[in-house]
Amino acid sequence: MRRTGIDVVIPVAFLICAAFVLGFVAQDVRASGGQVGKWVASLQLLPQRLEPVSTPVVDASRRKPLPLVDTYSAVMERLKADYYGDDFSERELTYSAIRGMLAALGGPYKDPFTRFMDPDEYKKMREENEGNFTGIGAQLDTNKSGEVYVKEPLPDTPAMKSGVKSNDVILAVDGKSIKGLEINDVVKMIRGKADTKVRLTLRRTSKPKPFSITITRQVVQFQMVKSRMLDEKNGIGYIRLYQFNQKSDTQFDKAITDLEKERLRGLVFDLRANPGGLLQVAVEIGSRFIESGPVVIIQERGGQRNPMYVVESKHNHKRYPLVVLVDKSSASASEIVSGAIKDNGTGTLLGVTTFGKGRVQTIMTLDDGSAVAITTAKYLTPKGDDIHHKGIRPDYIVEAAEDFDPNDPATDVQLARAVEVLKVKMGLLPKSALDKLEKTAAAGRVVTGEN
Amino acid sequence: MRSFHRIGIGCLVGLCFAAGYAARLSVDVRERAAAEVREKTISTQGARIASAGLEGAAGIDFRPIETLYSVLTNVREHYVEQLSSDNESQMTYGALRAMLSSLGDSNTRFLDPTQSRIVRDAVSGKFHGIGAVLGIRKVRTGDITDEHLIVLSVISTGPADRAGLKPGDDIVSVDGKQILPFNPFQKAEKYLSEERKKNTKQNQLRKWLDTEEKRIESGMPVSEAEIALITEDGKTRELSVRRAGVKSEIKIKVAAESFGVEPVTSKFLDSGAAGYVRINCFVPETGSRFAEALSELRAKGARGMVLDLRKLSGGETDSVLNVARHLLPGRKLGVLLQSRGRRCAINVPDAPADQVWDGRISVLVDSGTVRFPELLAASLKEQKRARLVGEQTCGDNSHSSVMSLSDGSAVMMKTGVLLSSMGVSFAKGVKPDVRVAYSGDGSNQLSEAVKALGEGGARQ
Repeated sequence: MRRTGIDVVIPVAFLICAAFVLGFVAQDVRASGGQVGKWVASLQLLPQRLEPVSTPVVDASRRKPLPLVDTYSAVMERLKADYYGDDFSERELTYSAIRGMLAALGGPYKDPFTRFMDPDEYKKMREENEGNFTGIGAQLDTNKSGEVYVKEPLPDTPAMKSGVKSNDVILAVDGKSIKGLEINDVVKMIRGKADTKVRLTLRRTSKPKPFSITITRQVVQFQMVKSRMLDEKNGIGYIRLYQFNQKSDTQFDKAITDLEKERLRGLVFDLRANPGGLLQVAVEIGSRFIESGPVVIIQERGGQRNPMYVVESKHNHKRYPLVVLVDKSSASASEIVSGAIKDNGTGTLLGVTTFGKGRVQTIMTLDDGSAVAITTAKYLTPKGDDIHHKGIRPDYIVEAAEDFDPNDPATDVQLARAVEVLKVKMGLLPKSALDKLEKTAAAGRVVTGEN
Repeated sequence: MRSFHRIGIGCLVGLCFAAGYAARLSVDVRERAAAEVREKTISTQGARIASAGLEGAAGIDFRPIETLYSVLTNVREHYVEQLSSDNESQMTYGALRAMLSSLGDSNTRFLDPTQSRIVRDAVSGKFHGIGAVLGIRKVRTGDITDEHLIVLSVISTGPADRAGLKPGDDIVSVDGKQILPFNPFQKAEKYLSEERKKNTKQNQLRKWLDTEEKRIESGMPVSEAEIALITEDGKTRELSVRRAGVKSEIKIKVAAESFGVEPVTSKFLDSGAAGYVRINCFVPETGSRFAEALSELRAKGARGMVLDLRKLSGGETDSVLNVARHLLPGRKLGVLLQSRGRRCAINVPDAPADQVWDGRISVLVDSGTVRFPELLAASLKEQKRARLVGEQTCGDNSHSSVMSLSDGSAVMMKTGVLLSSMGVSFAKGVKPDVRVAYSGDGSNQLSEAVKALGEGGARQ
């Protein structure tokens, strides 16, 4: 027994061990089929190597559209790993990608309004829409010798109050010479947070030596409206609106109130070169010229129409005989207002066919301070016309003069004709005075298909 | 008793098997639980880890992709029209195109499926278009950057070569359309900013802008022109080119077509018992054709060889190495300098002794010798294996790679620069040992090359 014990125990022990091991790995043997799949999957997760150019092309019929985000990140990772060239900023590159993606959406001519704004651009736009910025309120310009000078200190601004005068040449900002700097850089230096101070070194022809003025920055309103009496005897007033922003409405109100003090009887409303702005402001301004009904109709994706009606609280002034000046740069909100006036017949349009932007953009802010403006709806005039790519054809076509200089009213033939039309409306001139003007279809609603 | 033992042992073995199996099961369960925990952490942090490693210590920042993603989501949800799948792929193409071109490097760009096919075909010896290698050269005047479309090289015997287009030609217009830079609005933008400064009269400004508008409307962006010329379309194009040394613009009519090229041509030159081998393109067969040509010449008793690398560009590394192995077996062809300071030697494989050319060599080069052929010429010169005859080479040492995308489009990317075998940059071109300007049919250069064979210095 004992003898057999020894030569049996060893093989038995071996057998037992072998059995244990076999039991332990039995699953591996069984699962080896699945294991291969796992290996292959893990291989795919490894960084891909650069493929040579002769990789076979995928069959055209099996093509699927490239997924944007995945492809973008694959290309970005590859660039970061292997691109040989100047260092690049991932953010700037991404912004380019976003711009390219949006440009491809409608093509540069079909929809340039769906666009991306980086944080700087968006900040500028916000300032424009809010109608104010923090600064000193001096309008700057560059003179012939390349120096930056104060064209005009705006009324009621820190610049005006601290005695900055027109034509003061700026030599330094906070002691730093600005020689050779671009005007935009100078503006950036002067701007800053409210209640902080900036020191300007100025040269003024009336003073023998350059001098310094320290100015406290404040919130300054853009001047959106300019107005004056054109003809005091006949009470013909003029209001020009530069843009539709949050300050436009109150500034317009003030302008018309001021004109009324000078016995306003007829109004020229100038929307030339007005690129538009906020939709709600367009409705508010438009409400002043229309009795009732919609100022504009918004047509959402899917075709649903939402009219935006006249805001009656804006009927706070008497209505006057009205001529509206428009040109090919009158766009968007300007076209809403002039389209509403034309469709309702409450004024006469004069100038040239407007820009033709009948799309509403919604601005969506993004986490990193940038924003995207996306065309989200169409707008139609009160009578239901889509003016996109067509524009609004004024009642009287008057081209700007060859030598038109915006700074010199004497060269402004459109304005001169507008006054004539207004005088006819007010009964100051006979109708025949307008015979020389090219009049489009009498009743007004003409939208020709010029595309 | 014995059988009882056997049964007992059998049972014991069976039990142990079961025990082993059970032990493994419990190990697996524990491992799986651990793996699950691990997977969870990886799946949330994977992206972060990946980009953190590449961006270094500057900080984890993966917001750019989030910005892109939210713009895309907003557009999909809110755009005035429902997006089609065509819109989606146009958006992807637009994004890649803009992103890559913002790097301002003509070797880094997006290739749509058609362009990508052309690039692939060229590598395998099927050429499309006018048969010219085009490059975009930046020219700065003041603050305006202009991009010129330059003929870097022409493919030997291709339409451009037959029509007389020459390396260095600056293509000014295609079919009467002036070539415009990437951003054609620079001048208009400049006028507008100047107007803000100087208060130019409105009508003067309008005139300028109108001229600009006409110029832009009747022109053709440089990238579009390039694509038109390298795409097969059977059209005959009329080019206006500016050529160094010629005052007026030259008009050249050239057909864009699909064509193949004999990779290697050779002949025996009776004068001086030398052979002439011309490489027309670097394609996969070039190496074997080159070997055949060499053995043919050797059989005819040629002791020297004139290797013609004029008007020759590009090529894939492998096809170039397959030629080099007969000239510089086991030696270094050059160095590829990659991003983040990586250097990678380009070594020439060995060849059987009877396939190696050990006779004298002179190499013909000109300004149409671009990229890999330049490298080959530079290294043959450096290793005292050949004398170079002709003109200075182009000086394009960029190396690019192509990343294929699933729908047949691709991204071409500059991934490095080539340096000669001794690590010298040839970005300004390789200088020939014997400078001979091209004249007539170029046979003057050939006869100089034959002469150079006799002058020695070309043997190892």
